[in-house]
Amino acid sequence: MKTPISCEVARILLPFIYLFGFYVMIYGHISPGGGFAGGSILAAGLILQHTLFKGEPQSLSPAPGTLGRLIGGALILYGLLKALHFFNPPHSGFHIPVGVAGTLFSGGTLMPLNILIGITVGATFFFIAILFEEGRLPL
Amino acid sequence: MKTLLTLLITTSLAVLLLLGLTELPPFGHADNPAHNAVMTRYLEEAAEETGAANVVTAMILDYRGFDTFFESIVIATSLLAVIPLFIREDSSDENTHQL
Repeated sequence: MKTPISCEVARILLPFIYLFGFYVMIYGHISPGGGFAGGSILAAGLILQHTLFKGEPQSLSPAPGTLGRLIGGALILYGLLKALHFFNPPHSGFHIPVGVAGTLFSGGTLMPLNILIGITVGATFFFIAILFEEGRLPL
Repeated sequence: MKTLLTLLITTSLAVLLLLGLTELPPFGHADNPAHNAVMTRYLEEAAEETGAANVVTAMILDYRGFDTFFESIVIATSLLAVIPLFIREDSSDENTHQL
């Protein structure tokens, strides 16, 4: 698996994978994509980096509890953001400005929600990949 | 005996579900219950009401936000369910039990 060719290709490719993942997540309310797709792309990059650079300075080794806290924190924030809408229905007068459709900062809470879902999905997939490969919880 | 019981339960369940399938409206028919005011409302008003140019995102994150919330919770729960399946016994040090 680990050859000089794959390492060099990954070194060149990884920034673009991360950039594309964040692009798909952040522009989810304008172009096709969204939290689930962006999170999967991000997780693909993380898994590639983790498997190729094991034991090297570039290797990813999340500290104990990081991934679990990321997943839980993103889910809690999502719930709080949705509760904002739940307790303030449209007829109550409370209104988050939605902006002009098609511009980056539009859609009210859609962009943060997409990013939170992306964090949840990416961290979960990365967690499962480490678990599957090494048979231990990611430390 | 147990196998017979399992077979009986699964067959009756399958028959029940297939009976329900015969009652479904025909595919693509114009009078189907799915073709109601909701569809046109979403397609015509989504950009104005939610500010999202992508109608799919407007639907899954705004109109159906709670559905997506529990989908992400299902993903996190599936992770918890997968942990005991894949964890190996020999890798137990003091940090192993921290997520």
